Amino acid sequence: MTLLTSCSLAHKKRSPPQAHAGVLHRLRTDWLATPTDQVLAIVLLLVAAYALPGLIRWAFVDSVLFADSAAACREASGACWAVIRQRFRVIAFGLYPFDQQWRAALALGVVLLAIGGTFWAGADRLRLIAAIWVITAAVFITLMGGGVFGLAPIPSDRWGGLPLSLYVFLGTVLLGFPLAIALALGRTSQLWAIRIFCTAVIEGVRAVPLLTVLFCAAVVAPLLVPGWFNPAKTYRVILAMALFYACYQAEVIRGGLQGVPRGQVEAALSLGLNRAKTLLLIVLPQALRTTIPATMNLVVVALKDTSMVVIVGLFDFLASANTALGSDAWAPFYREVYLLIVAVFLVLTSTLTVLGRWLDRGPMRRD
Amino acid sequence: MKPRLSTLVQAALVIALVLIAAGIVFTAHENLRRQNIATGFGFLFSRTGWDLGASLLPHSTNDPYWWTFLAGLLNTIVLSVACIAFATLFGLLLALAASSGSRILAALTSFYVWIFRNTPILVQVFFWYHVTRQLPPVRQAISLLDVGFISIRGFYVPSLTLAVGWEDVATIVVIGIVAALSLAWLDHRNRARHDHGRVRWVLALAWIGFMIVAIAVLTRADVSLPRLQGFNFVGGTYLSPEFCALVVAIAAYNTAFVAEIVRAGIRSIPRGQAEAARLIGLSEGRIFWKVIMPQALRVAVPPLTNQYISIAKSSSLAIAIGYTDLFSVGAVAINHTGQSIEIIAVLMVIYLAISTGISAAGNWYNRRILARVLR
Repeated sequence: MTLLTSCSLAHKKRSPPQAHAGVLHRLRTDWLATPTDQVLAIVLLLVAAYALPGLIRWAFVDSVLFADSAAACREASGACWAVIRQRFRVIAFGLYPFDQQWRAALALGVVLLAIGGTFWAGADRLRLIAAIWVITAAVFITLMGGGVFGLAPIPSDRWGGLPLSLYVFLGTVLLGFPLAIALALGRTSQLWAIRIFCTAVIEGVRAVPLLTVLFCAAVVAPLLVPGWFNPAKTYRVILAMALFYACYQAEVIRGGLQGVPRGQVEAALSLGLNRAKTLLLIVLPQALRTTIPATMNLVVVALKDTSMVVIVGLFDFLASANTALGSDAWAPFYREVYLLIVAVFLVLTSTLTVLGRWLDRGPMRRD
Repeated sequence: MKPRLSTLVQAALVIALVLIAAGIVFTAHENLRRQNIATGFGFLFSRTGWDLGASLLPHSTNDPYWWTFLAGLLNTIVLSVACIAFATLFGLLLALAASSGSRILAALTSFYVWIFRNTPILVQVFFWYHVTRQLPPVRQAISLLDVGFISIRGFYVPSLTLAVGWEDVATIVVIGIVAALSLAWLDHRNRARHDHGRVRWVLALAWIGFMIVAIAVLTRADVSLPRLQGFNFVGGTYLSPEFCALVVAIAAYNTAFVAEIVRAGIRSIPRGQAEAARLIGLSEGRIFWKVIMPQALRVAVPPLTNQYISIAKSSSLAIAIGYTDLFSVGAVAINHTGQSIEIIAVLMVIYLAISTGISAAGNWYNRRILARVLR
């Protein structure tokens, strides 16, 4: 013991390393430490020197910002940003009535507000987060669908573009999450009939592509249900997406349930809580909090998967972008439009990823 | 829950499910009758009346539906295997780059992963499809060393023609088994040597080389190069632009996932392992391939299996750009016959079988490497 102490004391006498070495120093020690790194850096700089001027010329110098027709773009050698200016309304809002598109824009703003609200709420207030998103969905549907407060009614098959993508996303997660909890509880249930049923649903759905499930909702479902009960295609597709999402989410939640120590349940029961209260107040909150990272991964997947609804004929962001390109005049300028789509998705998914990390910090900090 | 109550709940659930199922069958029957849609699987044996754009099996408009589905299934399998192969190869390379210790390489790979993992795969499929639509026409095809050609009509690559009869196949199989047995005997004699693993690799490579030569000689192998003649290419073989766009898109997307999975596997190995191996004098290469990788694989194989299943399922995106995989064949069949229930059921069963197959293979491999480690 004495030896150890003297050793650590000897260490302490040495002067501490410089706390804030300069940027150049850090660059040298961290990024260019080995000869391989140095060669790599030179190669990268050469590639950049070769590619950057052309890229800048394409994106800025030779690009066309204003043009009424594709012909002007064809003459220029640079990017045709005019295609985005010309077709912006179609790309963003699809078939939504032109003079009502302020409502769609407002609905997008509400979603952004809700994301901010989730940041503010933090992981300690899961119920508040759920409430924020349910209210957001309600406001979103009211704004988009109208029919109340003097807003002209617009049926869901006229919705399009980014708002439709976000609507499908909201519906998928908000309907899917409770369903996932139910499926996870069902799969861990002691009643064999419920267990077998939930396991069959989860494993069956997880083994087939999303597209087959969407086709079931879009093409097969109308044949299977009586005529008086047949929701619009938008809703059938959202239900299918929610089911698909829920089956993956259920497995994550099941993992979280298994991670809650048995002692927690026993303690709660011995305190006199009944089974339902134990589940709602003790087990589920802990299970959900520990699964936040995996859940956020699935939520990002759900956001990306909204683009699949194109295949069954919903007019989402991707579909409206493809329409904006058309098949003729503007088609050569797909790069510009796809850059926009990719940028929007990168911003959205990165926001969700950051949100996930932020929420995951909550319980850690508290412990 | 009290036993009697639980029995009651379960009975209620079963009865409700049976009732719902009966209701669905009844309404479906009614709806189909009203719309004059046939039921049953008889359509599988009637002629389709439409041809496939691209098929590896010979296909014509007179073929029955089951043959068309088989052709679509083969396309799906080829597409999935190509995507899995490329995604694994490039994913491994990216993971190696990310764990090489170089900050620059790590930053580059994480940038790639960020872009390709966060963009919906369908957006990427459409993007690459647009790229193939803007390729030059056949006469101005981009030449790859005059061996392959890229044009708007597709990719022309060299092909290998083998003149194979049944007797040749039999000869090749016999020669292969004899060669393998003799090498296995050599391998067995070498077992005591300390660098046994390396000897085994040499023997395996020797067998592969010998078989290639034997097959080439026996079947009078002939490499055919594509060359421009008139308005099209002759010789070689042809990959449709849709197929190429799909392979590039699905492989590029999943490369990012495979890279992350393998990187996580490598990161899960404690630093002490590498340090201990360095201490007993192993070279850096051997440390990586003999100490780190086998253990990293143990962590990475289960999620990799899931990723492969996901690749096989995402091959159904072929329908977005009109490549005739199983799913788009099914969609066309639905349009022609209207028998959506049966066709979706067939598709689901086949995809279920594919997923189960990949999963079983992954589990088998996982058990094998686990057994090797525990031995």
